[in-house]
This record gives sequence, C-alpha cells and structure tokens, in this order.
Amino acid sequence: MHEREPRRLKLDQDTPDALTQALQALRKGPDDAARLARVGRRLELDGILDAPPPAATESVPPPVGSLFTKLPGLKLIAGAVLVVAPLLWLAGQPAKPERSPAQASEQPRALPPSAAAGSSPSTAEPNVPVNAEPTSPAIAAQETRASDAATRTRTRKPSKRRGDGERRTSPASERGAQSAAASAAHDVGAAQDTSSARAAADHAATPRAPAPVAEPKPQPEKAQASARPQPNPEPEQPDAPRPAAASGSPVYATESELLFNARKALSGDTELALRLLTEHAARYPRGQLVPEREVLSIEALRNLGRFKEADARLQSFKARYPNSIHLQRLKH
Amino acid sequence: MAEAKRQHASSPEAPVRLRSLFEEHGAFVCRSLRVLGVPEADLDDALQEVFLVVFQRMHDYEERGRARAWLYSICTRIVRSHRRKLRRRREEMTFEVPDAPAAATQLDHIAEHEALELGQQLLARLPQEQRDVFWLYEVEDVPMAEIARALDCPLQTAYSRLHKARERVVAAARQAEAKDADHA
Repeated sequence: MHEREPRRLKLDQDTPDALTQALQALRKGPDDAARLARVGRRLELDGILDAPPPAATESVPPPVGSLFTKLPGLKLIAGAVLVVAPLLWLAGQPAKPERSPAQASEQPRALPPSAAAGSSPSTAEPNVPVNAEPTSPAIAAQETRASDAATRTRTRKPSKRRGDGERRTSPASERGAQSAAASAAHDVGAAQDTSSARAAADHAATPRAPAPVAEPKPQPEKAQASARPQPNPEPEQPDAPRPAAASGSPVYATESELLFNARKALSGDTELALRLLTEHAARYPRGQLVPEREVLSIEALRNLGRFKEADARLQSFKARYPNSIHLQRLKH
Repeated sequence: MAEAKRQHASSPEAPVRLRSLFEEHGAFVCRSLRVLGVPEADLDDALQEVFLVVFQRMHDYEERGRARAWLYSICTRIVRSHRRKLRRRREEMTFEVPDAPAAATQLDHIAEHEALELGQQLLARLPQEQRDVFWLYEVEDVPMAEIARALDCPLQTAYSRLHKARERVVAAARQAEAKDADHA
C-alpha cells in the first residue's frame, strides 16, 4: 500500500515554490513551546502526565463511589474517622510551634501540607521560596503519580488498575499513596456533594490502615510519620534540606507546586488549602494556572460550607472562562 | 503485535506514555487544532482536553498503532463537539492571555511568515474532509493507510480526497504566485 502513495508535493519538482515553502512553513508552524509548557503544567496538575494509563474498561465501576453504595457501613466508619482524625490531629498541634527558631524557619517546608496548617498562619510560610529548593524530578514524578487516582476518578472512565498504581508508587514513601487517595477522594467529592466529599476523603483514608500490609514499606517509621502528621512528625534536620525534600515536604517554589499542595490539603485541611490558594492569588495574580486556582477555591469554599461565596466565584469563573473544561467538574 | 502492545499497555512500565506522547506530539496537536479552526485563545484548553481524552483512550492508541493520525482523529472529535460553543462564545472571551506572543510574530523571517499565511489560506479553501487528508499527508507526512483509518473512511476515498485537494491547492498556489509576479 505504501508504494502506491503519490509523491508528496513538497518533494515534487513540479510543485510551485510558493506552495513548497507554504507546506514547510505549515509543518514548522508557530512556536508553541510556551503553550506546551503551560498546558504541560496543567496536565501535571491534573495528575495524568505520568500516571499509568487507565485500562480499557467498558464496565469498571467507579472505585470509590461504588464501594460506598455497596457497603453503606463504610459511611459510618468514614464519618467516625472524620470526627476523630481532626481531633487527634489538633491534639498533636501545640507541640510544633515550640521548636527552636532555626527549626521553626525550616519546619514549614519539612512538614506535609496538613501539618503545615498547624503552625501559626503568620509564620506558616507558604511565602517561601526565595531560596526554596525546587522539588526534585523524582519527587515531582512521585507527586504526579500520587494524584493519578484522582484523575482517574474525576475522568469519566475510572481505572480498575488504581490499586496497582498506588502500590507502584509506594517504595519511596507511603505519603504518595496517601495523598493519592486523598486527592481521589477530593475529586470524587467535587463531582458530588460536600458531605460525600468528606466521606469519600475518609473512605480514601481508611484503606491507609491496612496499607502497611498491602504495600511494601521500606521505611515504615518515616512513612508513618508523613502519613500521620499529628503526634510527632519525623524531626527534620534543619541543616539537611535534601532529606526534607525527599520526604515529599511541600516546597512552594513554583506556581504549580503551590497549587499541588493546595489540592492535597483540600481533602484534609480545607482552611490550609484556602490559605494556599489565597497566597497563590497574591503571588500569581496573572499566573498561568489561574483557572485551576479558581476551581480549587470554589471547591474549598464548598467544602467549608460557604456556598454563597462559592457560587459567586463560580459565576465569575463562568464569565471569565466560559469555555473552560473545568466547568463540567464544578457542576453539582 | 497488537496483542504484545496491549500487554505492554498494562505493564508497570507504561505510565510515562502520556508524557512522552505529549512531549513528542504536543506541537503536532497544536498545529492540528489550529488547522481545525480552534482560535488561539482556545488553544490551551483544547490542547489540554485532547490530552485528557488521550489519557482515557490510551488502550485505543495501543490498538491503533501510530500516534499522529490517531491524535488527529481525537482533535477532530473534540473540535467538532466544541465548535459551536467555541464560536458562540468567542466574543465573550476574556482570557488573560499568558505572555505567549502571537504565534506568527515569533517567526524570524517575513518570508516565512508569508509562507505560513499562504499555507493557511490554501488550507482554508479546502472542504474539511479534503483538508484533513491533505494536512496529514502533505504537511505531516502521515501514511495514507493510517489517515484512512483515523478518518474512518475507505483508503480509496482518502486517495480521492487527497487528489482533489492537491488539484485545488496547486492551482491556488500557482494563482498566488502569478499575482505576486504581477505585483513585482
């Protein structure tokens, strides 16, 4: 079949020069590098760039929602965890601000997002990053993969290989899986109502309990420390920024990292998420991820029960981005 | 072969594929979306949406082989489904256009710019189905068999469309050349 193909015009000597040049110019096209970088960041934020591709599923049920429908008891468990977990978490908070100044200056970056919420907002540092160390590619990849469950849940065709993805994520730290599940829950919640979002978040958190059994844990104590921030987070060495980054601590060096952390916090500590989003608005008023910020803000406000504000913001989002693909996600 | 690819799709090594597709073919998708009539202001969203769909349909890619024709078919579907919306709301667009300069102004040489303009004009004169084939074959060097498969038409039909498109385009290019010669 291939040999039947006619010679391409640009290779044909009879082709007018103007056409040959036009074809070459079309092939070269305008320089889209900046656009590709922008959209690449968005896709990273969506958590799909490095995520395992979903399987070819015709009839795979949504992984989180369906469990709730099949096992209503889970809702009760999730509700209980919802009540207990924040209390436990709050109980562990007062210890943190009392660190030495040196530690305090380093601490916020060393903590996972939910833990960072505990430190006082004024020093809570999201305003970091003059010398903030960019997340290593490995961490970025891990974080991206960690949120793949979220995307697969959000997108219309959830994957039955979700568990595989999480298991694969775990060798470096369990935190990735934790945030993946949390993100997944958040996204499911976004597509449903607020209460189910909360419940889903906790459901996503509940499988964390058996996780030590299911997932290989090369560094159990560290993983636990990051997975459960409240009692005594792994003391981070102020003079060892590398381990801090390696533990997946938030380093708000870039616009997208700030939003990544806001998104992760959204399912656990909505107040923190909102603070991070506000900070994003202050630091990047005309950033490249403004639509994503607005989406997260609307979801955060909904999670906090501030529906009027959320609706107002949604209206302004609609006016500003009438064609945004995020509008679908924001529909109740 | 297809079976082997399917197995590969479900292997743990598969996850990087969307990134590699994006890095390798993102520019192609941009160009294709433009050719399909997506305005610059909507390109970011359209591009993102294409790759969201690509992510969901990775298995399809495995079965269908090479990427570009397949990506183009996804572009056409997305553009078709959004065309009405995009057109209707274009005037309302208040995108804070990120710092990306307007595409054509980035070209270094005026001649290149003019060549691009001419190419776009020539393509714009073609009916959509001819433009699809012409674009993929003449500009993007996609084999005809793939084009036919991606566009869901018989191979012979694809050849026929290409033939008609070439006639039109060559005639229009000659006309443009003659006009330029007159001006000069």
